[in-house]
Amino acid sequence: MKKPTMTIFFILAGCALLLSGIWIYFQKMMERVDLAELRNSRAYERHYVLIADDGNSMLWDSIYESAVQEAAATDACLELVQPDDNPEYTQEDCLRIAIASKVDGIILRPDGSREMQELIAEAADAGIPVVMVLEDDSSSRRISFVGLNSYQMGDAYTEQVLGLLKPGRTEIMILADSEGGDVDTGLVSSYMARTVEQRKAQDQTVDISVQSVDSSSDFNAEEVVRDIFMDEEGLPDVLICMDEVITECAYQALVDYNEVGNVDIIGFYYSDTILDAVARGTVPATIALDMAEIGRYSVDALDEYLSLGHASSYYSVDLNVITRENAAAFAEG
Amino acid sequence: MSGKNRFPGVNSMQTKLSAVMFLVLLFVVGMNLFIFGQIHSAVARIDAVFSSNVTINELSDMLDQVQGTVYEYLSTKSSQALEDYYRYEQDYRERLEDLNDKNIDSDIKILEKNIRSMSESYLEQTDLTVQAKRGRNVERYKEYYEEESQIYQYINSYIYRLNNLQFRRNSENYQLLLSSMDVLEQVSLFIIMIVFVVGSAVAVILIRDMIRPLLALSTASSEVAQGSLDIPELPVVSEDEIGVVTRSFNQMVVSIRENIGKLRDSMEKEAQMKARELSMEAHLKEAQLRFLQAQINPHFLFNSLNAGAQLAMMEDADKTGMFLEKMADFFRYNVRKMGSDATLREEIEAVDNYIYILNVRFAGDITYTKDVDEGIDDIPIPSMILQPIVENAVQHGIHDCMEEGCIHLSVHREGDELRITVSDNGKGMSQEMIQAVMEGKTGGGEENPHSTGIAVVNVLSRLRLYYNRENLLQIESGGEGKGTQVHITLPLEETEKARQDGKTAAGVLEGSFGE
Repeated sequence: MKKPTMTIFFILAGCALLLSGIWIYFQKMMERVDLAELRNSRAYERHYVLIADDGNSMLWDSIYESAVQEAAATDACLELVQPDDNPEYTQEDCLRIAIASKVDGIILRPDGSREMQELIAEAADAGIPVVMVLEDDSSSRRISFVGLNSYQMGDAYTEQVLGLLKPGRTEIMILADSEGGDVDTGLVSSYMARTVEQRKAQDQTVDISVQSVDSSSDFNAEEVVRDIFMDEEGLPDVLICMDEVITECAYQALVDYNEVGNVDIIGFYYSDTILDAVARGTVPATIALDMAEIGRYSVDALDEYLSLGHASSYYSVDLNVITRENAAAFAEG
Repeated sequence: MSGKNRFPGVNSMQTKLSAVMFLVLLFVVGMNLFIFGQIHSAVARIDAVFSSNVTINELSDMLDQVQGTVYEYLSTKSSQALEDYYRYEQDYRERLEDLNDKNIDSDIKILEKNIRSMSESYLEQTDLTVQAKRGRNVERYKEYYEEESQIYQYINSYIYRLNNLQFRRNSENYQLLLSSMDVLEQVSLFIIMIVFVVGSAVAVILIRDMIRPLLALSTASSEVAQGSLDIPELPVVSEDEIGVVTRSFNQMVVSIRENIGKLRDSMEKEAQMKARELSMEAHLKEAQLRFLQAQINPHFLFNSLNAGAQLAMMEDADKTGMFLEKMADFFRYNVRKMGSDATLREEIEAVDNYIYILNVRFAGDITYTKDVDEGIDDIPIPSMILQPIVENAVQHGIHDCMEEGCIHLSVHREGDELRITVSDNGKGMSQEMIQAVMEGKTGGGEENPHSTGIAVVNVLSRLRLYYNRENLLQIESGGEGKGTQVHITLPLEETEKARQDGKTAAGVLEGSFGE
């Protein structure tokens, strides 16, 4: 090839290269403009909804994380409906929306209300299976419950209480959410009373009381817990919290009212603050269910029901007692 | 274009220039199209970004219309409201088709799916409501209406959420696209500059490449115009008009060079011819002069000699008669043969006569011998060749020792040549003398009052002209006192040819003067 031809060829090739570079750059840029949000997304066979009743909790995040992985493995996508999404809607509204949206399965924590029972029945009529987690409402037409029953919970708490009994009189207060569904605080307390009675020392007397916290309205739990701490006379020796929000409130009040060492808190589940408190010994122990198992089992229950037509009505999950010794392991995740 | 090509099979300059223009324009257009395409896709992308919000808003409006007509129908039960309801319901259903109905793990897609499913539930419920109203089932339709209104609220809130979600995402996308457009603007400016630079470069390179042979041609033609024809052949680099002109130019230079060569040759030949002609003319003039000088005397002389011979006969003086007869023969031959070729015999007889006369004059002192081959008597040779040589040998060789002088003439035929040698035992010649005689500086007989008048130089010149050859006559001598040999070599073929052509000095003489 003649020299000028070669020069022109190289010039044009350089231009082509430059244009290709620019074109690729813009293609990349355009790809970043995600119109349909389809990047990294895939279609699934089924659509489940997880209705969380407390959006701020790590608990629901843990359940959702494991459940969404399990759902993906069984060709289903899991939608997390949190109170934050629709502040004006109740859990029942969310359930109605899920039914109207004709989802393939619903996972929720029941509040034990009649309305919810009716809605679960409506869902069952529409062929939508409902799985309950953490708490059970056996009178509803849910297909499965994933969690621990009252006896197991009672046993776990009782074991911790026994280690905290003082010589003489020990006052124990159980703080439970009034919307606790089937988790019968009464059952837990009576189991605890009976067991403690059997295993306590002769000189020890134990007084167990139950305080219900109405968490249906905002900030109520915090007010109730503050009330307890303000009444120094009625302040118990051991405070058993049956809810992660109550646990957090109780711990904060304990610090605020300078009652560390006077009141022992046995918490439910954990947050970073609680784990920190446990690690420092401010909180002796907290009871944590294996939330990853809850998420996994709840999706398994739905999948089993939809595939086989039936599912086990009760999935028992592991229970962890977090104390000063193993707090670090949980903090690491 | 090719139809107008005056040089078939040649890429014309027009085609090439058009191709260059086309290439540059193609490049410019291509670059512009590229920029245009990029801008277009970016703008289309911005359009698409907000079209999703527009779609959602339309969906919301249609939902309101459905709900409104249901309410109106329930309130008034007007057939117009019912008609509107069915129409809006249909529109709404159609619009729902655009929404996602797959279980995709994306916030927006799952919201769309929920809206679509809820809308379907809602439309089922509105149908039930309308049916109940038509069936005048008051209790049911109120109940259904409440339920559908609730779903309507849910759908609206979901649409609101979807709109928010999309708007938030679209705003991010919009920011991204705006920054892309900024970059695109700068890139476009850059590309335009590149187009300018590259387009110019391509045009300059191609045109320079095309013009280069033209420049070489113009330089070469300037040189030729200044008279320098020794230029190297120009290379033909392209098969276009320039190529054709270059090739023609090369041919032209070669032709001019050849023509000039030929012209020079012919002029040289002409000059040679002219010189020869002039030389011949000079010799003729000389011969003619000598002839005219001699003409009167010999005629008168040999007529007188004849008269003398007859007188001697009458007086019975035989020797005198013989002598006068030989004298008469000699002069007669001299006069007669001056204008034509002679035979070898005639030449030898002339020598014989000359020697006889001398011997009579000098009382028989000269010893003369001859050795002539048989059968060569009739060979034609130019006249008056031998006698002047012999005369020269007598005058310059043996003149001072006539009584011992000896002259030998030998004539032999060797192949195509006739070799004649005249030798004497006279005083000989030095090399300088021989050289001088051969170069015509001396050795002639004209300065000698005893000579018959024809010098060796004249013989030499006539032989050269007659045969058109050099070195036909050679003089040898051993030096002072050792005698002299004059060798004459005559080519027989040339003799024949010359005779046929009539190209002889004598012939010319003959034509000029006759006898």
